[in-house]
Amino acid sequence: MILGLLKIDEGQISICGCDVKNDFENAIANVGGIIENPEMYKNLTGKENLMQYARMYKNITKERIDEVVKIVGLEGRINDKISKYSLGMRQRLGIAQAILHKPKLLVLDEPTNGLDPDGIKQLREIFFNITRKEKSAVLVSSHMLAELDLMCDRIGIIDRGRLVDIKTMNEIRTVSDEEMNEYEAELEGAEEFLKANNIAFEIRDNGRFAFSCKKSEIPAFVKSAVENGVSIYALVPKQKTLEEAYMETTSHNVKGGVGV
Amino acid sequence: MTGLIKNEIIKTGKSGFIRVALCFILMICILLPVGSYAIRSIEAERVPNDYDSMIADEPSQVGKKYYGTEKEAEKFFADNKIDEYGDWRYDEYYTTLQSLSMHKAVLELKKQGIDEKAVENFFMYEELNAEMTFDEKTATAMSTEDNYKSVFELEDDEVEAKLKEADKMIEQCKNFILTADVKDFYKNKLANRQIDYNTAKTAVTNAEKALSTSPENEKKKYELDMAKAQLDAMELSLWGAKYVFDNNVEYGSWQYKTVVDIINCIADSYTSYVIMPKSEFSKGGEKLAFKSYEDYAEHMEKSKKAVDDTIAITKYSLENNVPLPEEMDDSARLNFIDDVNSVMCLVCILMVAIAGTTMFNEYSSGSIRLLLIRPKSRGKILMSKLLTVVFYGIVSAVAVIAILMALDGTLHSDKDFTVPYLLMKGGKIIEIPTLLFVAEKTAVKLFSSFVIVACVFLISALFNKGGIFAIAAGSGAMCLTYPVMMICAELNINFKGLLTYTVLPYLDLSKYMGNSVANFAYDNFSMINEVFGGESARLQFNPYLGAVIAAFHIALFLGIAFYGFKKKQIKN
Repeated sequence: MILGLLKIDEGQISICGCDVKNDFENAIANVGGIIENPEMYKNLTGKENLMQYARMYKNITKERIDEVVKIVGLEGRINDKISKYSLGMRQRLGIAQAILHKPKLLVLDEPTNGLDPDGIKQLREIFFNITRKEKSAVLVSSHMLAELDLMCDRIGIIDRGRLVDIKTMNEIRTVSDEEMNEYEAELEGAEEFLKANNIAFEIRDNGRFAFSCKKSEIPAFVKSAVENGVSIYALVPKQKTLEEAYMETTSHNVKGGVGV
Repeated sequence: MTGLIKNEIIKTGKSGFIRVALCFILMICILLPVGSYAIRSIEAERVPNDYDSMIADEPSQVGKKYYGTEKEAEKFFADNKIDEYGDWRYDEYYTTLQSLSMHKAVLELKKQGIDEKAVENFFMYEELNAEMTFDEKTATAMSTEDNYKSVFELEDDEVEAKLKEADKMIEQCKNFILTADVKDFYKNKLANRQIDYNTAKTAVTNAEKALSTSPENEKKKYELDMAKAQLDAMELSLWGAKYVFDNNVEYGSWQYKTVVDIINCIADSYTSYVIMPKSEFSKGGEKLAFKSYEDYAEHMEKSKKAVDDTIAITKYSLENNVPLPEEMDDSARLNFIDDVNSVMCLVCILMVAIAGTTMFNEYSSGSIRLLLIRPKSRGKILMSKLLTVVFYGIVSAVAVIAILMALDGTLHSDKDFTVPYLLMKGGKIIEIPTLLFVAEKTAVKLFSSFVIVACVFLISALFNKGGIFAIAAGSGAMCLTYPVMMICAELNINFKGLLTYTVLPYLDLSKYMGNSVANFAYDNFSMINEVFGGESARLQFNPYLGAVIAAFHIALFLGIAFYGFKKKQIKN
């Protein structure tokens, strides 16, 4: 809908002050996009494909095309037909076409679909570079929550077609002082101390102790443990994952999507 | 918009499918003129018949006689140093001499007591006599009275008399061949035409008398029409013979061939052209093909006008020294017109292919999604695709015309590109440069084929997987609709009422252009020609109405395509 591919049933989508429905050309001029795997013209080379999209905008120079090719790291293969490209290369070319006109908003729909871990990492790095160099906002729509966890600053959760929550990743990860949270600690000689203080714990496979307490109780716990001769090498609070935040927000509803 | 069009032109040009299609068109462009040149070269080196072997291999006695008469005739011309081809004596009298000899041979076979069936099994004897031209009056009498059946009904003494008569005619024929000059031949023709004309005139008088006794009798009206048509035919034939005789036309020249191939052919089949196509009118007293005499008369008027226009153009050609391309030995102009017409069918199919693939490829590859998220409206994107179809159609057409002009102009011996093409417009004959005529015809062909192109474009634009189906259906419609229409029209003239207001007969409006000479010439008036030659269409359908109907359909299909595409949901 944001990109004008689907009909807007109700409401309004505005990009840089331009309504997508009524002022499509001006609104979309500020947007770049990749929808799943960027399918382009296989009988054209990478550069010819970029030229195709460049002609649809004003003032895109050959230098700009070379620049985006460099950003996505396709300099060596840009003159090959894209039928010879791997999925990762096509994905990078897809990014190149999306940022060709320096869009203010970059919309990516399932951008890591079908990519191997190496490709996903490369793609993520490219996105970070783009946001820094091109000053573009990137809107990612995906079901790959772990990937979004690593990639995004802000998350919007869509449940049954409705946007039910928007949070920054910090907000999701931050635990309040009075909220019970799980901690994992690398301790030496702590078993008796914990038992004596009636703190329920378990010993993980890595030898660490796992127990739950409030954040506000941590300083007192550390002080008491040290005074009782426990050596503390690490104390790590368990952070909430995006998946957990999603499940909480959507009441364990498996349907829905996440973005931002 | 320019950028969008440039994009589409590049994408289409780089498509493997379209490249193959373009190469195929180029190949046909070269093969057509080169192939016809090669075939002509082979024909020129034709080996003469080996009659001795043919006679030896022929099992039947009748067959041996037949080939013997051919050998004798050949020998007569060779002994008298009469060149085989292009000599009026050989061209005009070989068949006559051979037929007369065969007539004599059948009489001899009868005398020897051969079975009638043996002759019948070999061939229809009457067909031999049908081509006699030496003394047409006698030949006609022989062909109607002395066919092979009547030969076998003759008594022995009558056979003897007929044999003497046959010997006499053969001698007369040979004597004429050896002594007469071409002027005598023309004079002979003229005299025979005059006799035929007088006979036809008497027939009209008799038919008028018959009708006056019962003025409302539709069959008698029809018979009078037939007699009048026959008189018109004989008048035309007489005009041709007189033209040749008065101008002492060189034998074999384009003027001579124009008279023989067009004037005489039209005269010979005039009644068929004008009236006979629906001779069922009076068959068994039932009116099978026409509702009424008025209905029939209306059809007759149209047919007559088409024939009269052709006659007028032919006479104009002779009187103004503007040769018709059909009558040149090896006309570059005629080959050019025909070749362009043939290859343009492929160009139309190319346009259908581009119209079908342009959107199909976007949908099937998924590139449509990246195409539509640009600051260009869907209308502009679709328009750029449509204009690309037009671009390739026009560029291909221009290239085809240029290539064929160069090849036909080089390979054909009659370089007659500068001779104008003759057309009947608004009752007047006009001269139009050949290239302009071809360009106009091509433009009209491309325009009318755009009905199918627009339909295919519509299917391709609105249905994600419709492109290939649309191409197949569109190409099929383009190739088959017109002949099917003509067959329908021919089989049942009442179809006319239904078809006239549909787009089907107008999918190739160029068939209504140009003069009808080729359709009437060369004694070509066969069923095939009637169905496919365009004359049925010319008579039954209105091309101006067709242009309006075609334009309406193009606008309708494109309107739906643009509206539908604008509203289309593009899903993953």
